[in-house]
Amino acid sequence: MVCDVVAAAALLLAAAHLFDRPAGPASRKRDAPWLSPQQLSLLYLLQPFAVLACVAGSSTSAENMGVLLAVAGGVTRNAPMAAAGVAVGAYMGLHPVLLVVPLLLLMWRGPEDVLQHVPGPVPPVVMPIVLAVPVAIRFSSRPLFAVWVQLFISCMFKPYASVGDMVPWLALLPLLQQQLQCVKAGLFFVNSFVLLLVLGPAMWHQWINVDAANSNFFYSITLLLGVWYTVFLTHLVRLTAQLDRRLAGKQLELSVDDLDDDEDTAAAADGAAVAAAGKHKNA
Amino acid sequence: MCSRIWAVLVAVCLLLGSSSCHSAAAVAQQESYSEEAVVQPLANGLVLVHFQFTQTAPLLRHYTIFPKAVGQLVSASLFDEFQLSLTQGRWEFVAKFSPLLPAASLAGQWGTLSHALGSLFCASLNFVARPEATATQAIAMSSCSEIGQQACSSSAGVSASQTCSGSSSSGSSVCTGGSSWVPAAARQHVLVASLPQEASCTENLTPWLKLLPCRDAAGLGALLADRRVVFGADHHSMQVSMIVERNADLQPLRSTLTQSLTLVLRPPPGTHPATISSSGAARQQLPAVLADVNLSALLGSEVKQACPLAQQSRVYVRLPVLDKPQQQQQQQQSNVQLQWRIPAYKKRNVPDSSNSLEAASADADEGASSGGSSDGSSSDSSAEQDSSDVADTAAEAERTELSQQQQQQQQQQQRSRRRLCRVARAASWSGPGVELSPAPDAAAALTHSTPNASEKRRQQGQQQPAQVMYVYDLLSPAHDAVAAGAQRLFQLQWAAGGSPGDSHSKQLLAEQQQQSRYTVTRYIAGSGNLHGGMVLEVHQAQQAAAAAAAADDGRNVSVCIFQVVPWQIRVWLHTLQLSIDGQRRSLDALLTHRHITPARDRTRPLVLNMCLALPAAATTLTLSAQFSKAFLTVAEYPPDAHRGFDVPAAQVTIGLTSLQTSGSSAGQQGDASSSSSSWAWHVHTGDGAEAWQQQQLQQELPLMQALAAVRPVQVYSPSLVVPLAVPDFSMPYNVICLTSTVLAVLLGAVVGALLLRPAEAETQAHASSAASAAQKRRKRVKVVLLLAVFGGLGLYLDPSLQEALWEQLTALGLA
Repeated sequence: MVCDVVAAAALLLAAAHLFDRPAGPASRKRDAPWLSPQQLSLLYLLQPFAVLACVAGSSTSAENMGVLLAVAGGVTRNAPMAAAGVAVGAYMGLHPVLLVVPLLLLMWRGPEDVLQHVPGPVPPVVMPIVLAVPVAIRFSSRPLFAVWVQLFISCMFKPYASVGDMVPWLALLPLLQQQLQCVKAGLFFVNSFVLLLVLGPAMWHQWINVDAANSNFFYSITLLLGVWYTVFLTHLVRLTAQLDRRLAGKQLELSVDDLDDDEDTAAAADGAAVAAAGKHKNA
Repeated sequence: MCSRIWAVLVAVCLLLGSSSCHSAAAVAQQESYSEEAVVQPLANGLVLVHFQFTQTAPLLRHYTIFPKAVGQLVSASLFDEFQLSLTQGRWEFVAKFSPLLPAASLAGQWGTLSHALGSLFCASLNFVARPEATATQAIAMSSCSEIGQQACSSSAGVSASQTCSGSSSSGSSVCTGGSSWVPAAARQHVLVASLPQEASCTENLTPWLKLLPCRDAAGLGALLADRRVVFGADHHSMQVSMIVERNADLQPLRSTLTQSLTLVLRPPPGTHPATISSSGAARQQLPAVLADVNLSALLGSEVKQACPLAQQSRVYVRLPVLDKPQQQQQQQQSNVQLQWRIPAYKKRNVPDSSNSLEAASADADEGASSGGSSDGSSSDSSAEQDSSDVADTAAEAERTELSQQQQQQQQQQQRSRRRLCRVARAASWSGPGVELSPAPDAAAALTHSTPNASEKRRQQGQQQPAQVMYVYDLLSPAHDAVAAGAQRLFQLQWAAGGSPGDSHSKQLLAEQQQQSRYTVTRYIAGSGNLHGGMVLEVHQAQQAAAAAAAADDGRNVSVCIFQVVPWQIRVWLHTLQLSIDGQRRSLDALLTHRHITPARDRTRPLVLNMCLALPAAATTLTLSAQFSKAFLTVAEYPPDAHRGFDVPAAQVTIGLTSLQTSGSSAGQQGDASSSSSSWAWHVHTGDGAEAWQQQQLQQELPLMQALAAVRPVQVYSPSLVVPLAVPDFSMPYNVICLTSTVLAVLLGAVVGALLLRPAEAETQAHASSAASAAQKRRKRVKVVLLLAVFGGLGLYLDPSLQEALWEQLTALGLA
C-alpha cells in the first residue's frame, strides 16, 4: 500500500516534469496531454492490476515503486533518486539488477536529458538484453519510450509473472500519447487483451483448482498473450520510428489524419482494464 | 509392525557422536553368529514372523563367517551405527557417525556410506546422498539416567539444554527413578534420508541373504526360500543394521551386523478359520480371531538342517498375555481342557546364555549338540533323558583343546547350562488356550525383576509377565533327530472352541492384542493443486486415557514429533496449529523442545523436530499446517509424476513416565518400553512333578534383548502422497518450439521495426522505372536459380525422384 502510494507520487512527479516541458516543435492542439499528472497517478492507484497486486500482498508493488522512482529520478535528472529506485527494485527482484548494465552503457544521453536507464533483462535473459541496446540507440531521442519498451519487455519475460508486472507499462502508457494517436487497430488490441486477461485466470482455475483441464489450456493462453505482446510492441515501435521520421521533417507517407478515435482508444484502454479486473475477480 | 501395515519412511541416520562411551575392554576376539525368529499370531488373523540374524566380529584381516565386504566398509568409513531398512518398497537406514569426525567431512562420509550400501544391497541409495533428501534429527528421547551418564561423560557436544526440567510444564519430578523419557538434544549427529518409490525385490533379498553364513540353504534362512511368500506378504520389511564400537583412535574394535526381516503373512486358506475373509475392509470389522499357525505351511518352506555355523538358532512363539482376572479364569479352564499337548518332550539342555559377545565357538556347541541324545523322535513323553552329563563330557573333551582364553567362557557357559531349562508340562501359568506341537523347549517370560531376591520368587508366581515366548531350539539334539521336516517346526493351534468360555477368552485375547495404546494418522486437507493442508493426529486409546485421567496427577507426557517435508511442499509454519481433544491450544505453551530447519528450494527439506508436553489424559493431539505446492520444471518430476510426491512418515516418540504401557504391548515393539531398566527374561522349564524352575537369563540373545529393551514408544504415521500440478509430459518439445517461434518473431519484428527506414523505401519505390525493371529481372533470375539448385539437389539425392522424372520425360517423348 505504502509502496503504491510512493510509486504514484513518483509517477506524479515524473509526469509533472514531463508536462512542464515546452511542447515539441510540431506542437498542435492534438498534442495536448490527455491526462493531468494528478489524473495519471490516480489512475495508477486505481489500476486494477495494481490493486490486485496490493491486495495479494505481492512484493511486485515494491518493485514497481523502485522502477517508477528510478523513472522519476531520471526525468527530473535527480541521480540519487534514480539510483535509490534502482536499488530498491534490485532488492526486491532480480531484474532491475541487470538494469545497472544498461545504465553503464547508456548514461545520460539525449537532448531531453532524461535518464535512459533501461530496466529490463531477466533470466530468459538474452532477448531483453539483446533488445535493450538497439532500442536505446534507436530511440536515444525518446528515452521515455525506451524505458517503456524495456518495462514492457521485462513484463513479457519475467519469470513467475504476476499481474503486478503489468502495472508499470500500463501506467506509463498514457504518456506515449503521440504513438497511441497513430494506433489504427486500437479496438482489436484492447479487445484481444481483455479477452486474454479473462481467459488466463479461467484456464488457470480449470487446471489448478478444478483439475478439469490440463496445463496445455493455460499454456495456450500464455502463448497467445505472448503473441499479443509481440504484435503490440512491434506496432508501437514501428509507429514511433515513423513518428520520429515525421517529426524530423523528413518525407513520410504516413496518414495521420484519420485519427478520430484517439480519445476513445485511450479511454477504452483504461475502461477495459477495469472491466477485465472485474471479470477477473468474478472468475 | 503389528496389525497395521504402515509404510516406513526411508531414513538414513548418521550419528556424529559426541562421546564414545564404549568401553574398549573385554572385546571378544572371535566371530559369532546367531539366528532367531519370532512368530506371533496377530489379532486380525494374520501372523507376524520376524527373523533376526546377528553376526559379530572383531576387526580382522580375514573373516571366517563375517562378510568381508561389510568388514571393509567398517574400516573404510567412520560411522558408529547405521540402519537400512526396506519396507514395502522403501528403505530406511540410520547411521551413526563417530564422534571426532569434523562436521565438514560429514557430507563426504555420508556419500561414501550410502554409495557403499547401495552397491552392497543393490538399491538406489546413491540418491540418498543428495542433500535435498537428507535431514538432521536434533532431538532424541533419552532417559533421565542416560542424561546423568551423559553429564558424566562430559563431552563437548552435550548442550546445556539437556535438563530434565524442560520436559514437563506441570513441574512434577519426572526424573525420579530413572523410569521416564525426556527429550533432549541429540548427543550424536543423526542424519535421516528417505528414498521413496524404491521397489523391493529379489535383487535386494539376494545380496541380503548372501551376508548370512548359511544363506538360505540351512538354518532359519531356509525358511525364506520361497520368494513368493516373502514378497507376497502383507507387510514386508527388510533391515540391516550395524553397530561398530571404536576405540579412541576411531579404530573399529568390534562390529555387529544385524539383519532382520519382518513379514506379516496371511495363513493359507486351508489352515485358517473360516472367519477370515480375504478382503481387507471386511477383515477390519470381523471379530478378532487368532489364527492357527503351521509355520512350514505358512512360509512354504522348511528347515532341512540347522546351520552348522550358528551358535544359536531359535524360534520363539510369542503369545499374548492375559490380564490377571482373565488369566485366573483361563487357568481354571486350563486345568480342565486347555492343556499343552506334549507328544515329545524331554528335559534337555538349552544353551541359554551364550551371548554373542562371548562368542562361544561353533564347534563347542556342535559338539554339545551332537553329543546330546538322539532319541528325540520318540514321542514318549515320559522318556526323560538327562543329557546334561553328556553335554558336560562333550564340553570337557572340547575344553582340552580350547585355548586358555576360551576356557573361562566355556566354564561360564557350562554353569549356565546346568541351570536346565525345562518346559512346564501341564498348563502353565501363562498358557492360554493354545496347543503347541511339538512342545517347546522352554518358555520365557519377561518380568520385572525386583532387586530383593527373597521376594522374587513369590512375586513371580503372581506377577504378570509383560511378554511370554515359547522357545524352540533348532540346535538342540531333539530337533536334530527329528527326521520329518514338517515336525521340525512347530504347529500352533488354538484350542477348538468347545465351550463358550473358551471362545470368549479367545476373543478377549484378540481384543487385548488389537489395542495399541498410541496410533498416529496423517492426512491431507484441501483440494486443488496450489494449496493444501496437512494434519497429523496422535490418538491415545480410550482406556489408557481414562486411566490416566483417573490417576490424575497432573502429569504430562512428552511427545516428540519428527517430520521431514520435502521442499516441493512448502509448509507455512505460521499456520501451524495445535489442538488437543478438539480444542485449540497454544503451541508455544506446550512446546518444550524445538528444532526446525527451514526448507530451501532444491537444497534441503524442511525438518520439524519438536517436543510437546501433552496432558496425560488427552485423547487426541492434532497438529495441522497449511502448505503451498511448488511448480517444478519438467526435469524435476519423478518418472511417475502423477502419483505425487511422498512425504516421509512422521515419527512420533512418546516418552512415557510410568509402567502403563506394559499391558498393551502386543505386537508393537515400541510398546515394550515398559520404562524400567530392570526387566529381564526368565526361562521356565519343568517336568511333571517338579515345580517349574525359573532362571533369570544373565545375557539373552540379541533378539530377546531387543524385545526386552527399554525404550520410549515410537509410532510411525502412514506415509503421505501429495499430488502436485504436473505439466503435459508429451508437450515439452512442442512448448519449446512454439515459445521459441514467438520469441523469434518478436526479435525479428522489433529489430526490423527499429531498422526501418521509411524514407529509403520510399525512394526505392519511386525510383526510375528503368532501374525498377532491371531489379525485377534480377529477382526473376534469382528465383530460377534457386529452383534449379534445389531441384538438382533433390534429383541427385533421391533415386526415386530420378526415376519418376525419367518416366515423365519418356512419356513426353523427350528421351
